[in-house]
Amino acid sequence: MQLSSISSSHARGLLAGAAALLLLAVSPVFAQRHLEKQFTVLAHPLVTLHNPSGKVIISSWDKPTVKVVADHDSPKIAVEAQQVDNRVDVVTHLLSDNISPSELHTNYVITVPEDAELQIHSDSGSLNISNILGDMTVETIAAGIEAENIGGYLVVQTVGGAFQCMRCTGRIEVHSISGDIRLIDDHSSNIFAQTSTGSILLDGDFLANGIYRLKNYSGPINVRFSPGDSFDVEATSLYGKVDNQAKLVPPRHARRRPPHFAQTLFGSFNQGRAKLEISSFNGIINIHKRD
Amino acid sequence: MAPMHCREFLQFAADWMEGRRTPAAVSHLTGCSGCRALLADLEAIRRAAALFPEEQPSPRLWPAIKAQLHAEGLLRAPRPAWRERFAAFGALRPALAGAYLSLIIVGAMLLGANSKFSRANDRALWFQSTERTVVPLAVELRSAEKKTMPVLQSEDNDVTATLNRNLAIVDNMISLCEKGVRQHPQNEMMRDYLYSAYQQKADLLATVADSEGR
Amino acid sequence: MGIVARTRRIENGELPEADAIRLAQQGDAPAFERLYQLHYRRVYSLCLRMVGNTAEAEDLTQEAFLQLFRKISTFRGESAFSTWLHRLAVNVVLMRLRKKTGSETSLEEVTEPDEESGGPRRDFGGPDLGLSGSIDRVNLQRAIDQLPAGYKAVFVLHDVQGYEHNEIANIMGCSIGNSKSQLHKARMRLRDLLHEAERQRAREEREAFKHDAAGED
Repeated sequence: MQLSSISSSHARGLLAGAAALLLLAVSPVFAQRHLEKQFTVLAHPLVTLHNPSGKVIISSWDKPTVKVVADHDSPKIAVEAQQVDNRVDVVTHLLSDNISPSELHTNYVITVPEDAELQIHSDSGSLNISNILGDMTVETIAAGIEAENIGGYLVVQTVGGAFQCMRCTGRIEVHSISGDIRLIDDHSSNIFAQTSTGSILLDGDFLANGIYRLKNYSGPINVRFSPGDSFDVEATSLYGKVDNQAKLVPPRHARRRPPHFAQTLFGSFNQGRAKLEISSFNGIINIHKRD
Repeated sequence: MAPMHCREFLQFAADWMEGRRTPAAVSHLTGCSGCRALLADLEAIRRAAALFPEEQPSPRLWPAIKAQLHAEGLLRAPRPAWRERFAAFGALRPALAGAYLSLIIVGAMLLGANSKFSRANDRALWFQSTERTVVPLAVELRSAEKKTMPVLQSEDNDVTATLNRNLAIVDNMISLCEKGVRQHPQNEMMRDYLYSAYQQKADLLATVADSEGR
Repeated sequence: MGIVARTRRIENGELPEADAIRLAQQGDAPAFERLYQLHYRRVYSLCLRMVGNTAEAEDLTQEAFLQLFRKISTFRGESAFSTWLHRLAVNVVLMRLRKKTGSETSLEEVTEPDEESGGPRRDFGGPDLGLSGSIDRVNLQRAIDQLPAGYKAVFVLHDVQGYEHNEIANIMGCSIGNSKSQLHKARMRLRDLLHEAERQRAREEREAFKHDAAGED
């Protein structure tokens, strides 16, 4: 009796093993490509990334090291990361002319010293950058960009990707065509944001002597203010509307005469310490109190 | 006029050094050798500082900087490997470079034409002037766009879709701005928007050339 | 302008700054050198006045120009190039000074002892210690070396290099009012330091005289 029980359980074990082997045999084999490299750098390293598509996450740590982790599924992709003195270049190479969009995806997690400078070019996917004090240039076509706690001069060029910057303190310059731009809780003294059909939201601090210029063609431009803020404002929409909740007094400075057919608003709020210039071709400009 | 005391003059001293004068301050100085001595000291410091010569570093400084720039590859334009595969699109670049040059000329003319026509106040003259400069530019951009069409039509991915969509957006903007300029040719802001729209189109076509059909 | 003519102008060092910037943004080596030639003396002088020794000043100048050339593609022309460069250079120097002192040195944070409690300092019983006509470069540089970093930067930019307060505000990222206030405090501190140096010299001379007189007896 015992022997037959044992042989039954043994047979079951054998069957289970065979099934597993069979599954492995018929499952597609995914050639997981993975690169992990670290580079020791000095102060203010320059890190560049050229990637056609994928998810990119960049953050900082307190080590004098740049760490690059890359993952992709396609054998038609090769990732190269190399260092020349205090500069680290990361490039996604295409090994074939015949690559489908899904094969292009290469995901990166890059960790840099907080004073690093970045130059990033990624056509699509997503970019998430946080806690960097160095200057940064980001170019993309369709990737969405989220930046947080950035301290340096940030220049963003995007075609259709949305851009969001939270708690950034350096100078910010954004150029987009259809991407939305959201600037939230920033503490910057110089912001320039231009989009054509995207919306713009400015909801941060107005620093004394700060300059904030927002421009679009259509779509809404929303500016939020608190009772304690202080700015001179000039807002013009050629064919759209300007809706303002700030109690303004006439400005101290001369200004150019707006066209008679446009909707224009100008004046000083409190002492007019910062300068706010907003223009739209036919969009709506809203200057509203924060809730 | 209430007399100024030394304590008050000390607070005013910074303004005095910036060139500000008040009768009270002048009067105080006349009778106060201590404050006169203070100002004389501050002036002496300012004069002495201005006499510091411009110093010269050692001649090996530039070679050291240049060597570092070479080492970092900054003294040549970086070209990621994937761009080298599509050299055929190099032919597009001169057309776009020409477009950029035209934009600079157009921009300067549109923004600088005020003085020429403001006295004339003639809408027709404004419009003719704008048209003369903008039409050749529009032709050049259309020609550059035709060369990019095979690229944009050959691929089906979100990058190409984004580029196509945004080209349509920019064309629409140009059309609206041209209409606006025709209606209000003297309006500087309107012309500025038209100029920006053309610039965006040129930038976008350059991006298409760079993306190389991915 | 044709490429040949432009090349000749670069070789002759005549290339206008705007052209040099544009070419440098494309990685053109002679254009980099042109920008260096246009600005290196002022940058080096600034660094030298701030740190007081030539080796470190050269090191800082090199670092400032390297940072400039690394980020030249981000220069958009909204401020004067020299202002942008000087902002970089000042930041490089202040970072170095912060590392040395081990603390964050902010323009706003420096506090001064209250110098305005009475009248101007009056020295009794000593030689005439007016500074007029008696400040030499060495003593002034020694006094500048003892200034806090923020005061030093504003003083060097304004009184040594001749920048106006609105330019300094741009360079230092502060308000014009702050720049004026810090400049005045810097000059007042320098005055105290220079007077102290004078008194020390007078004391040493008196000691030396006494020593010589005692020796002769």
